[in-house]
Amino acid sequence: MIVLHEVCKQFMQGDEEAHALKKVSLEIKKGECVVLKGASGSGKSTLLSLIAGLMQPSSGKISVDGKEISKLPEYFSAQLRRQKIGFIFQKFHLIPHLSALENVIAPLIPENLPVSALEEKAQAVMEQCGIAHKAKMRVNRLSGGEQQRVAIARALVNNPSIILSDEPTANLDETLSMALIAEFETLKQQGVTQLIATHDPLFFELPFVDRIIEIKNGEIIL
Amino acid sequence: MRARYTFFALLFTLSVTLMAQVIYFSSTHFLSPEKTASKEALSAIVGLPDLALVNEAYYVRHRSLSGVFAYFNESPELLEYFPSTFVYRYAPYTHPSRIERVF
Amino acid sequence: MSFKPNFLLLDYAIRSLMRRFGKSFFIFFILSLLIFILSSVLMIADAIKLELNTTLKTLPQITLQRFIAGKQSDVPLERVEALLDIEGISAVTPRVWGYYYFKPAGVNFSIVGIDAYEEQYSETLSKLTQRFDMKLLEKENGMIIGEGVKKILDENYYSEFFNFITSEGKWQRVNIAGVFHSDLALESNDLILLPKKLAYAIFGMDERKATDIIVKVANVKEIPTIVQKINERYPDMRAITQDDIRVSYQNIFDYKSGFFLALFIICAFAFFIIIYDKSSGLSSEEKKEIGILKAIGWSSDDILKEKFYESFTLSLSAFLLGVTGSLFYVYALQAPLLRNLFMGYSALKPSFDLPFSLDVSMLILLFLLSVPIYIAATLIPAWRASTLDADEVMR
Repeated sequence: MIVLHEVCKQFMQGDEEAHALKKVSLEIKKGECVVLKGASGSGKSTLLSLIAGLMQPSSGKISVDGKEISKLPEYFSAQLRRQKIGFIFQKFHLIPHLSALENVIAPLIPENLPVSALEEKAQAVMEQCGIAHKAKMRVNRLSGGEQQRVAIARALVNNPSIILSDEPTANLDETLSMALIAEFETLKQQGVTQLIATHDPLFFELPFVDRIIEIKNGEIIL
Repeated sequence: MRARYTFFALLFTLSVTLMAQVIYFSSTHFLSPEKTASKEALSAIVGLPDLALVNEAYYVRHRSLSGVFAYFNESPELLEYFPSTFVYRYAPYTHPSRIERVF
Repeated sequence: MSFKPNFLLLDYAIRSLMRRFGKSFFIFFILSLLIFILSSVLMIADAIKLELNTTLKTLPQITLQRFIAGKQSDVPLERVEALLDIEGISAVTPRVWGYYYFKPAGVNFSIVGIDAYEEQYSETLSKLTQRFDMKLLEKENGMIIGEGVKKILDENYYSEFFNFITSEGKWQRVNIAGVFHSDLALESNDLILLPKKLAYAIFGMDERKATDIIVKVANVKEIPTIVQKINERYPDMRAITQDDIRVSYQNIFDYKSGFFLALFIICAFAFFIIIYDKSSGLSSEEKKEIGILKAIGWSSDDILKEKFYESFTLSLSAFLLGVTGSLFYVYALQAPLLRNLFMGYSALKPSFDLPFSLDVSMLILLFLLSVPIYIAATLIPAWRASTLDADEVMR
């Protein structure tokens, strides 16, 4: 369950203050799949980053699973991201010189679990995403689609209860986009809460999407 | 995932080599009581300080017994001529302070 | 928080170093080299000091030299009797010693004259030499030489005897009665021990004079008083006490001047260039990596831990390699190149076979001056980068 109450976020752009989000209030129930629709610069990415605890709001409250995260100390917000949230970035943000397997395992390294358990988990997730055969390959040698699948596997490796996706199909062709959508559908069936920020029209008519929220100039348009 | 094993192996090898060298050299190059006794016996007969490491400049060979003039014997500007005079500092009493001038 | 080491983090750190192999190896190499040079030089200095201090207590309690016009001059033998009158002095012995320049090899031999080989010496001398011919000594026509002298004489075709050229231009033939043991090379390499009479003849010195006088006192604590009395009696004489020699041994490698200062300045300079480069900030690639790691769930703590592992493994390995290398270099190889600094460039050099001396406090000091500083230089920019918003850094 994700709750946002009158969340504002301002950035300094030179001498001027830019309002990325203006008093956004939102509630997403457990297991819901919500699409966040809006043009570039509307504040979708900022909203996702705030929910993931990557930045703190200028004002307002955000709570995830009943816990307020807006003023959470950095250590605990990192723990939250590690244990509950999987984030699929628009530009994948993989670590280029690591192999696919190492990238997938990376989120779990601070947990200090036994190596074999981690590798098993990672292999399983990579098989699920169809990228297990490229496990040892460096990610900067993979194609865009393969990198996308590694990014998804990385987001799923910690069995998150919340998946946040920022423009997941921006760098994919139609075939790969459809494959990704199928993946999202599977996750929906597994009861994972999903928030997908996109302006790709493919997402606007999907049957498993519970809600479409439109955001414009930092405000939610109902 | 095996990078750490390589590192530990390197660390282990270096540590073992270090320990082995310390043990080996301390036994072979150790200044045993017999060696010390013979050095002391020689020193008692000869009575001159300092080691025979530097031979060409006699103010470095018997550094502790040098006279001030010995340094300037070659030429005033040659005090730091030899690499040895750059390494071994002159004995303090050979360069008395300007105020005292006690020989 | 548990204190269980995170080996995966260690793996990640090592892999991170391997990814930037060129830069990591360069820093590793420079650090190892600096530590190698510093610890080699300090080890050699310590070993030489140990060797010197071994024989300190057998040196004369007081050595008296005479100075005329600031230059050392011979001491008249009458003063020997006169000095015995001073209360506290138990023995006064005149000495004859000096240098003999051997032109063909361009070397100085140190010649020391001893009272013709009395019984008291023969047993000791036989223990100190490799082969010892008592008969030659008894004839007052023999000398005992150091290994270096033997080598030079052999090279110049003198194997059983040597012809000294006296100050009058005459030849003085002296037989080689013995050669000092190689264990004593550091003390005796250029030494020639002969009867006093021969020494006088070779130097062309006045037999009524001595090079210097050594004084033995009854009570060691009275040495300063006795020195004062001698100075009052003979103002032209300089007294060098055993304590003076002890102090000069301690100061032999002065860290405030000369070679050691130059070495420390250069090493510090090289080290601080590395530190400056490290602490002036991370590359944009490294910053981005930190941003990504934060985004996927690493806290600043984890990032700093990883950077700590990185810098610790690099600097610790460099330190161990430097010290291991220097031990081998000094004691197994006898420090080629570096020993020339400590030995001068004469043809008459002893083998650089130093006694083993490992000053643990020196190693600890070297460790503390390199490893923690390098770790700090790595952690500070990493900490600065990890406090930035992950979002900002990734863009």
